[in-house]
Amino acid sequence: MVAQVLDLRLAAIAERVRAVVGPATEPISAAAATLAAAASATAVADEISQIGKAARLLVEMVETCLPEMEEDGSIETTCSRLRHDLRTPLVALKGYGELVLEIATDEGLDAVSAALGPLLEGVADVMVAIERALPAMSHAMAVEEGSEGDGPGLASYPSGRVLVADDSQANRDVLVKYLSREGHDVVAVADGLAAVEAVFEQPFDVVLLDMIMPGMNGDEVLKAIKAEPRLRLLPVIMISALDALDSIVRCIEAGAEDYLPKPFNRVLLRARIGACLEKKRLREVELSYLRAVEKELTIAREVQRSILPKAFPAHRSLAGHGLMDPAREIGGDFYDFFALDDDRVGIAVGDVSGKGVPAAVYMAMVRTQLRATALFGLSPAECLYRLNDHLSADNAEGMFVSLFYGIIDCGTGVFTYANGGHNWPILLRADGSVEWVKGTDDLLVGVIHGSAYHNAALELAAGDSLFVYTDGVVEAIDSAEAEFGKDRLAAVLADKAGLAPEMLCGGVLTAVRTFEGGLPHSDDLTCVAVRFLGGQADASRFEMRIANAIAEISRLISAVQAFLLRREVAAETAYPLAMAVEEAVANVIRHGYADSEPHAITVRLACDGGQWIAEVVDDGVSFDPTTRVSDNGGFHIGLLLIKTMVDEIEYIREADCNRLRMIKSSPRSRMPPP
Amino acid sequence: MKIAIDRQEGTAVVTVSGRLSSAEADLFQQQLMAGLDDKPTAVVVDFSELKFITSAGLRVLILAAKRARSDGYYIYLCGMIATIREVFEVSGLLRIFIVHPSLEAGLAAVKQDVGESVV
Repeated sequence: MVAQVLDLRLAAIAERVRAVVGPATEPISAAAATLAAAASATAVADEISQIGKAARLLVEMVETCLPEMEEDGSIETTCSRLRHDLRTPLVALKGYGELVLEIATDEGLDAVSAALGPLLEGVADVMVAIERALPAMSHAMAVEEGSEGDGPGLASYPSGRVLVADDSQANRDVLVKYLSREGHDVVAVADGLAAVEAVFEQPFDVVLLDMIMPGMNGDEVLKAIKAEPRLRLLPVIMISALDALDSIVRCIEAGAEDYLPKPFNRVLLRARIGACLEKKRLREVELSYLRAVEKELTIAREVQRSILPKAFPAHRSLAGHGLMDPAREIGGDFYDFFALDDDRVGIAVGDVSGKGVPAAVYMAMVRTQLRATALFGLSPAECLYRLNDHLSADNAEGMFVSLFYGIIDCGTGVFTYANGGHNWPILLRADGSVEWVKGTDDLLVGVIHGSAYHNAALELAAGDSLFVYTDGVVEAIDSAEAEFGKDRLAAVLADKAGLAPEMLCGGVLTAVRTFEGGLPHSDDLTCVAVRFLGGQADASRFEMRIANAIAEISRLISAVQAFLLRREVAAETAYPLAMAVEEAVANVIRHGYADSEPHAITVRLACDGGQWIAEVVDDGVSFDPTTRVSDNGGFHIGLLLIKTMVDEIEYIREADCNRLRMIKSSPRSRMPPP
Repeated sequence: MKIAIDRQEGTAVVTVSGRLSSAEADLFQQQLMAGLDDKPTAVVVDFSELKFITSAGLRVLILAAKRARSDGYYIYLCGMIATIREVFEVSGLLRIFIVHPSLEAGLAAVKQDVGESVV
């Protein structure tokens, strides 16, 4: 009973198709006949015969229309199938019609052109008639048709390799003809499996996929393409009837680039293929640009790394370690440590504002200027003051650096530091207690010309460590956007008190990365740990080796002065002693060598009872100043000066070295105040 | 991050909320500088809804302060949560910015300062 009712409904549909669509096909048949008879049509004879074939097929399909119920028993599905079938000859008619029209216009075949107008109009009328006879549920896409023919502003597009997959021979032929004429290299296949094989085996720039094909449907082919990593970027255009909106949407969601409604509109086809190829070309340009940028960033990152000191200066009462873990994007963190003299080691950690190459360049500048300033032996505050003046003098970009710089005196364990807007370091006592090395709240460096910076000092006992770090540690965030924070850092360090500096840095890095739980970090992470191993057994001695270069003298003398100051040697002793050392060393550097090779000069200071003894040892040519004082010439004015500064000089030549001892008995000899 | 700039007579009131890190700093700079282009007599920045700031955000404020100084007016910061205040403290910026406890206090300070300078 039900089956009979359905049959009746199917018969009614067939009847409507014949009544509504039938008359509309008549102009097409007439136009096809006119075309076939048109004179001088040999150039397009093949296409015209295809048009004739399609016109006959259309008429036959309408006349013998006998729809069968689809498997799902739905009338809508049946109508959809019928619409699809009826469109097949229309696709051929429209496709060949437009192609022939183009050729005929190009070659001046007026009779042919004249007949094509009514043919294409007829196709449009039949489309409308089909919609009337078999209304679709969804009309959402019915706005697609519109820009018929080659309108003004015809864009030109790049050509490429196109794969066409469609089970209808007529559709394939039309598409191949269209696309070849556009200059594309076209491969056509008749089913989904062949399409998958083709894309896996040959390179294509774009794929046109019919939605409904035997064996493997278009959407399944699409999924197979998108599942393959190397094909994921291959653009796929779905070919579909206008009423299949739902499946189009699914395909777009699954990664299809676009869709093309049937019957094909040449302008639309050209535009969509062109857009895909253009997009692909731009993507390739962009990728190669990105690769170039990536390469430059890698170089910049290498530069950033190479600026960091390779190893902590070897010292018997100090151990240290530095670590920088850069973010993906290059940043502006740096650390540095350097020996100022045999007793004092400078430690700096900085974080430049901003990111990228500008930050890295600024960072390199800061680090170089800091070293240049620090090696003169200036106090930390004075270094920051000078650095700030340099950096803020010409700083339109408003860049700055937070900079912590301190000097550890290994003889006394006194740590003198200045803090230009940097995070408070941590002082980790040997017993595991943690203190914040609070700053003097001085301003970031580079912001305002003339800003004041202040020194502060603390005393280190044997086993105490200093831990200096950047934002990357405390501002690391976990998946819940919570910050790692100062308290967590303090707890991690307290737990590791007494461990070697490498272990402190590594431990903090591990703790931070674990906290982040694999999330990408946006900032460099830098930390430096320095452990004081205890003062020297005899802090009353000074020894320093310098190279035989005039530039080394200021470093030496500032170290000598700092040492004498620490020993609380009165200025009337300290000043002439330092001056005598300077004269003696300058003499050796200027006149002491027969070659131009680098040599080392060793300077020692020691207090023996009430006397200070300064010793200069060099491996230059043998020279005894004690016997040469009365020689003429400027050469020995320095020697005269030395004799005035100190009470006694002694000279020995031993093991191919000159050993000059200058003895100052304090505070007998009087010197004018400096 | 959200930024709103509201003009109360000569005073530009800038409200920043959310996070102000390097990702947002450029936009903050653009908008704040655009606000300064309108030649205010004072700029009040309300931080009470700001949760997080990095050096990139500080840089914009420093640029704005320099600009304000050369144009002859001041920037008043107000309503900072403790963690942001600490960033200002550590970076020494409290030496160049005066921070008021609330927007009202900031506006009152403007009234007093601008009023005085007019007299």
